[in-house]
Amino acid sequence: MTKNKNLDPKLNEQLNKYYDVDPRPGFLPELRHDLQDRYTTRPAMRLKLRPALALAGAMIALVLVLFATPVGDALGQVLVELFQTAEDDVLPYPPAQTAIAEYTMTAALGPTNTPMFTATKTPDVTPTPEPGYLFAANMTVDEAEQVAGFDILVPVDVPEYLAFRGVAYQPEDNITRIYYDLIGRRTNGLSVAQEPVTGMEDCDLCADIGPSADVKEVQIGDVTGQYVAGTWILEDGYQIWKNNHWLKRLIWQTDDTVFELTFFGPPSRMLSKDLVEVAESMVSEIPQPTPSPTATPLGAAETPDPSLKENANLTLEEVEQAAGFDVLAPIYHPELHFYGANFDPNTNIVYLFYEEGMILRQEPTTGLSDCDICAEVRKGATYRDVQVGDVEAQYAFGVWNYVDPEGLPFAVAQPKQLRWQDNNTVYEILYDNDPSDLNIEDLIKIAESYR
Amino acid sequence: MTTEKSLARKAVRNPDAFGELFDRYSLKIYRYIYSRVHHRETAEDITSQAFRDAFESIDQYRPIAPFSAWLFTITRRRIADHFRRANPADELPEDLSQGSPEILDGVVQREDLQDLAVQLRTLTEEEREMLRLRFAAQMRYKDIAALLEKSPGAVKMAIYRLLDRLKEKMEKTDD
Repeated sequence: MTKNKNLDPKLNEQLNKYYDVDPRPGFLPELRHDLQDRYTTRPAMRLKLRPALALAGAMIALVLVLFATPVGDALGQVLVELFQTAEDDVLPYPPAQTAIAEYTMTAALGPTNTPMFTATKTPDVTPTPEPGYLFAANMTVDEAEQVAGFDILVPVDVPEYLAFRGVAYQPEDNITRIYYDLIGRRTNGLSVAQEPVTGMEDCDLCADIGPSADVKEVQIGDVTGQYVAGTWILEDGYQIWKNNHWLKRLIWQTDDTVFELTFFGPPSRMLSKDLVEVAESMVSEIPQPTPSPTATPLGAAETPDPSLKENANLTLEEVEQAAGFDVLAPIYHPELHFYGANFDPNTNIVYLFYEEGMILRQEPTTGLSDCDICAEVRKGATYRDVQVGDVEAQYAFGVWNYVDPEGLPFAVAQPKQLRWQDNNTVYEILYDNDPSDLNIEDLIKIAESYR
Repeated sequence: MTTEKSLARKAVRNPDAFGELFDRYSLKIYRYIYSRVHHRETAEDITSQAFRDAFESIDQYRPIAPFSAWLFTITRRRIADHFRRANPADELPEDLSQGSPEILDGVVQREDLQDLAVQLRTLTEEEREMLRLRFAAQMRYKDIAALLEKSPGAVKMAIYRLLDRLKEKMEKTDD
């Protein structure tokens, strides 16, 4: 394998040494102590104000309850069952494979006025599949509010690895969805959905989960929500509930609106606490300060996603020029034809696409902390340590086969991945096609032919 | 990441949360300041001032930008104040041969770094600042980008190109 001339570990080490401080500063513990001491004077001022604020808040809340909600409607809020449990983890899947079976919900009030639902399967009903809202998310929040006719709450605390894509509106369910892309992976991301509900029967966000789902109650401010990790997987004509962490959902209700956050992506990203943070940061007015440099500003024109094959229109020479570092490509690639290349300036990743489902990625990195490729792992995949020349590599083989929150199947694949690091660059080969075509030995051979 | 944003929100009332932020950043802030002022006591003073400023205004932090970018903005403001008040010549160039005795002491211990010091002198102030933020402050690219109002990719690429140039210069010197 050739060497990448751009990054020199020795220089990195020298710079680290050059900027190091020796001896370690001894004043820091004292400064820490001093700063923490200051809290003893600071909260005292706030404590005086707190009872007054609390009283004012309570008065406002009482006025709102008395005047803004229908009398006799149990504090104005109809509680809905946020996650509805299906009768089994394994259910027959409609032969047309266009939508999951629909359940008719019948409601009854329990002894404590808590609504209870029983799920009755109606196999004859085959609802029309919903359009791919993710790809139709092209409205700004203001535009979506106008179409939907209600205020949309927007999170202000969204992790840096997510970039705003746009807002979609589902008129038949009266649901708005704000979409954020997981940077570098177009089909992964976060959806922030909102649906006004007038009664128990019309909550479309309150989707089915398998009986084995591990539903956790979480606190979102002063509201209790529910969190679940898992999804339905299509297998041999059945939809099977799997408690995996590729799809995480947080759902809660405030007054007459149900909110749902759905994250689809690597399990290491967006843990339940992260979802709660996003949920707690939702406000009705969009803040104006500086947008995150990684995110597309609300309503701004979208740049073509470099991780998509259809946008890969560069040659090897052009992509090298765009990236500013040496791009290596295999000279051995059996019956695979180069399609095009692309460069993602946000992650510094170069993509090389081949016609038959092979994608090669390359990212210069100084360590795990700044390696975007390394952040993506697949739970459930089979891992194996292998050698690529004299370098240790990791090979993964696994299955992606999911049903999205609307019940549509997607990403049915059996990708093989080979990933290794050489001379401060991380390389990856992803083969996502007929599993019998290329085996691990082929991938290693391809990797060893990088020039 | 978001944990820091969350900590920053909690730090308004919670000394432990502020303490955790302090533990994460104090050495980085000190290293960065030291790389600018090259004087131990001055670096200690400015570090203390910067953290006191951060403590006083923590409730003004908005989790739209990374916390580190916010903290380093405060720090850079404090450093600028220092240079405005003092003789502008206080900001020593990266030229260690003209440095204070303290710096020269360091050079004796780090002879292998003399070439690097000489080459750093040839960089622009903006380029040196990128290196200070990356290597002295040990900031992530995305945080540097937020601080300098650039895209993370642009920062990452600029630093890699800078290192490449620096390496070439040092190789030429070796020849």
